[in-house]
Amino acid sequence: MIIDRQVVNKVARLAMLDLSESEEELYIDKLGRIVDFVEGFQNLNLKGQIFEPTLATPTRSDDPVSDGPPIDDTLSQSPKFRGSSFQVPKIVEK
Amino acid sequence: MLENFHRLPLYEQVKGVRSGRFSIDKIVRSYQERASLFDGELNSLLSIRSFEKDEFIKQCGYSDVLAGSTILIKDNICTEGLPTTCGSRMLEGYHSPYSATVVEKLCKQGAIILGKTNLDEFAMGSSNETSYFGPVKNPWNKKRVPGGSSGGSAAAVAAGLAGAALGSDTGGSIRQPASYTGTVGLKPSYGRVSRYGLVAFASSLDQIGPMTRTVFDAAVLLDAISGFDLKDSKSAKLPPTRAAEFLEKIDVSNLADTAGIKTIGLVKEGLGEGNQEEVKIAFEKAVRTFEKMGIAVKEVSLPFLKWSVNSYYLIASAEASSNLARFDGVRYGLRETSRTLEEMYRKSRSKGFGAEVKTRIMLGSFALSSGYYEDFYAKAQDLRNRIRSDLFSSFEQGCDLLALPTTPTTAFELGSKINDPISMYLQDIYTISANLAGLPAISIPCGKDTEGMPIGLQLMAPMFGEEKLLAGAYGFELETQEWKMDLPNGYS
Repeated sequence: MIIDRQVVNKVARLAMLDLSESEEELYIDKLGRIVDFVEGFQNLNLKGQIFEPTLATPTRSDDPVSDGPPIDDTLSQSPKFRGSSFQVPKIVEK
Repeated sequence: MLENFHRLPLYEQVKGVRSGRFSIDKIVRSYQERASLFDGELNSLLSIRSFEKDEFIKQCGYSDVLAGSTILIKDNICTEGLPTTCGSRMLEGYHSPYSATVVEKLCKQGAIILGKTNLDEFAMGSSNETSYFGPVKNPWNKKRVPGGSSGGSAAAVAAGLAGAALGSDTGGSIRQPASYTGTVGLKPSYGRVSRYGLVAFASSLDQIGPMTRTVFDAAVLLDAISGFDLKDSKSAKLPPTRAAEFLEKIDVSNLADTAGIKTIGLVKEGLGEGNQEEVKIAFEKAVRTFEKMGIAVKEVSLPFLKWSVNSYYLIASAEASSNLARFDGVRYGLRETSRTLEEMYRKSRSKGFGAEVKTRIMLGSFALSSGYYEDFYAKAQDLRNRIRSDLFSSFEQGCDLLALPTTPTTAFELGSKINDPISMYLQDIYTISANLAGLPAISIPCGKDTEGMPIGLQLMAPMFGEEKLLAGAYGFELETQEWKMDLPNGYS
């Protein structure tokens, strides 16, 4: 599997990351080496294995409503807020 | 004059406090003094709690279960009143408005939280070199790494800067640094300890566990932090362990009848060619110690162990890419000013995350993306199942515990592997399988190399077999007293 500039830029976009040119070079090399290493298992015969993404059957529990931390404590950790809301750049332009 | 509390195991200090021989005030002051004396050179602490005079004495009584125990918390575990940075620029200065369940449990039982420890950024690393706040040094040799990602907790405990610490273990992040620093590190079974308040890295693998200087102390802390928690959806519906009581009752000269340990499985693949010679020798000697204790040793094979690193890095990175999506500059953490919302996400994340975190997020996004999912993520999950079934069958075939080295080598030099990701990732080859299978595992000191660097022995037990696991480790520790409570030169 070749990790080139196109693949690196695609995954950076998916990961919401901007890469400088030097970072692009860095990750072409680093991700390339990692993918080369991890894909060593492609030739293993794993037939008969059942795909089980979870370790145990999920159990349902009662989920009583409880108070979280005070809203002011939560808001105080936000970079920007107004009233009881987090503030972000405008999404819909006029 | 300050007393040498750091030369005593944590539980001896607790007993001293409860019997009125020791003052909590003196214990706390003694550790604070040591932290200010030694941490400048180690960089193991990211924040230290300052106490109002007698504040903790008002908070906790002298009869509490953990009265007078001084604990450090890895800085990816939310702790009210102290910052929680995850070793990242992204969360520099962040204060969680709530505490993790484990922190609440410790405080309710009388423990005193002394501060927070350095770590690889978001727990991603094996050397503690990826922290935004600088690398941690190994107190046994300050040119060497302490391991990671719980390197700050390991270095601080090894140097006697607190009675014990909590770490988190996703692929070996408690056991590998414990091995490198001559301390005891326990990763509990998946679901045994609540992850509520642990900043998520890879949710199907993460567990919080104790890092201590004796096996008994690890049992005491596991008892204190374990048990069902409604706030963690994967928490096992089990009461807290009673491992310390169990250890007090067993006869270490007869572990077969008193702890149910008749056979230990020697993992053949743990004697790999990549092992440092001294690690191989120390491991073989450890196996002979168990034989001398009357325990049968049986060779077992885990043929897929060598692929555990491949499976782990794809699964852990895939989960990390999803978990770390929450760091977008909206609710907490670093925010870069931007004209549009999406630009703000990208700019904030690009500035806030370091190179290793970006690598893992991109690797995870790659493994989950259309066109690669089946060949990478799905195959890694199949491999995980295979590794898990190999481990489970070893126990079904009569092994009570499994033994293998914790790491292939002793602590390496700072900077020697940071640009070689594969070599760094392979340091976790013996620890990852316990996370993939959800099993409990412990690292305990079993020797030193010719340069005086500690070597760790790893034991694994069946699911929720912590009491048996600790009993095996406790028996070994009593048989090999020479490394117990050992302090590095300059820290005694």
